[in-house]
Amino acid sequence: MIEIRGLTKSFHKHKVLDQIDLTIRKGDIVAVIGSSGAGKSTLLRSINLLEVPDAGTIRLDQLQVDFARKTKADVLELRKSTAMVFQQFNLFRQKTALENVMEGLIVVRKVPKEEARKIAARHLAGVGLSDRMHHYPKQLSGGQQQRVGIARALAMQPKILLFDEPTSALDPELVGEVLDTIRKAAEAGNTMLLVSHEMSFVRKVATRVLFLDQGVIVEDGTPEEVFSRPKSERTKQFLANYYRDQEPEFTI
Amino acid sequence: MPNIFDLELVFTLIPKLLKYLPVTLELTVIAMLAGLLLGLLLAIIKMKRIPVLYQISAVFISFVRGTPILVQLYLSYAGIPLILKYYNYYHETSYNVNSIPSIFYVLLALSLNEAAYNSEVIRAALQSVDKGQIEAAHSLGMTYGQVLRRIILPEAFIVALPTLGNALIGLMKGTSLAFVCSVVEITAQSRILAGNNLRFFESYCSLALIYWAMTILIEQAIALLEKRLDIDFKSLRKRKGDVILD
Repeated sequence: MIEIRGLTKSFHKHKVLDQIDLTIRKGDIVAVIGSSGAGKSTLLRSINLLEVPDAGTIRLDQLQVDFARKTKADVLELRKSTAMVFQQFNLFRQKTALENVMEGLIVVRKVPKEEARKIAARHLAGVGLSDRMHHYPKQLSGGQQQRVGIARALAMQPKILLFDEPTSALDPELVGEVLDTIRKAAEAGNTMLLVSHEMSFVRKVATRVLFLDQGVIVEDGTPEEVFSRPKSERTKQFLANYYRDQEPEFTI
Repeated sequence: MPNIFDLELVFTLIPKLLKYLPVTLELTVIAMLAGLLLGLLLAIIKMKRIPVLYQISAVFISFVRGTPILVQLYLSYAGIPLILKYYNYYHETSYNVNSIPSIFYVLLALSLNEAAYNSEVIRAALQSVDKGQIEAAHSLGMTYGQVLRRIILPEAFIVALPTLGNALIGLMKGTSLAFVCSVVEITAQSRILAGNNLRFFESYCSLALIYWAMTILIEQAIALLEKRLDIDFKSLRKRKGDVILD
């Protein structure tokens, strides 16, 4: 279980996140939606401290961290219990797909090399890349790179998986394979926090949807509640734009 | 016709000079390794802007770049014994200046010189590694040291390799100044041999040929290394290795 209390972050004078409280239960697939600059990515990046919040606390099972008084050990511990999939994939360029997945296992989890190789191969097979294990990132398509990124995150067996707009940098025709991979990971019972602009995907896969606006959670509920019966005006407005794009331009 | 230029002598002198090639190589290799390590340290100090050390390293780099290597060798050769004398005086010890091998002064000056020049190359290479990979490594829970060693350095090394290769060639030729600290390497030996038979030009010709050949060797080695570090090449080899395993 993850409990975030009073998470606040400003860049200069601009408040990006304002007193966010959020509890995520084990197995939840939480999607965060909202317009650009709403603080979605910052929320995600605060959880593994790639972005350091100004105030607030986080509790991840037994681990309790106060952002204002964090130690180096806290940071490492928090990062070991989470794993992130990035918008720009961020694979290690000098390492093969297999080595990318093995890296964290060997260096952070101290798994013996041979065992790490087996685990990594299993996870790459899980994302359908058994035949690309010895390819380097630049020899893979965007979709394949992102699937390696997902395998790398899954291999760490994190308590929560963080997806930061995992399909935004992809060609439209490669989005499907990545979304399928994420859905498989969700069905396998992983706890997830997902920032995405793929509304129809979010609606199908998430168990809970948050709508973030100007650093505040304005809507929090099941996909059904948020998409069909939004409470706040801002959410209705945001979704209206989304629904308009979904409609055919003309009907016969 | 008088034997004004003795071509045969040029080639008979080469083996005699080559006896001292190990000294040249020793100077080059040790000064390069020390220069790389210290250069990395200076680069990190500069990137992290560590107080005090940052200012000291800035002055140090400026001094090294602002003085000729020959002068630095003089300073090392004349200055280190003074420091030792002061140390003996204040600590009532009796270390003997003559017990320091003269090669030490050369290594010190060359290493420091190399470090100052390499630090800028290394810093630029370190900063060229894209932030995304570093973030990904941190997000896995790696410490700064682990990220540096496993992710940043391997990538930065490839960026810096051609420039560091040039630095290595420059250093190898720079060791020819070691004679001012009375270290006998191939240049000093060529002067000694020339002094014996007064065939200066022949002696220097042999010397030049050796440096030239060494430079070509280093260039080839760097080119080979670059090729082996190329991703497509590495990938091909790994995939071949996979076939053998199956």
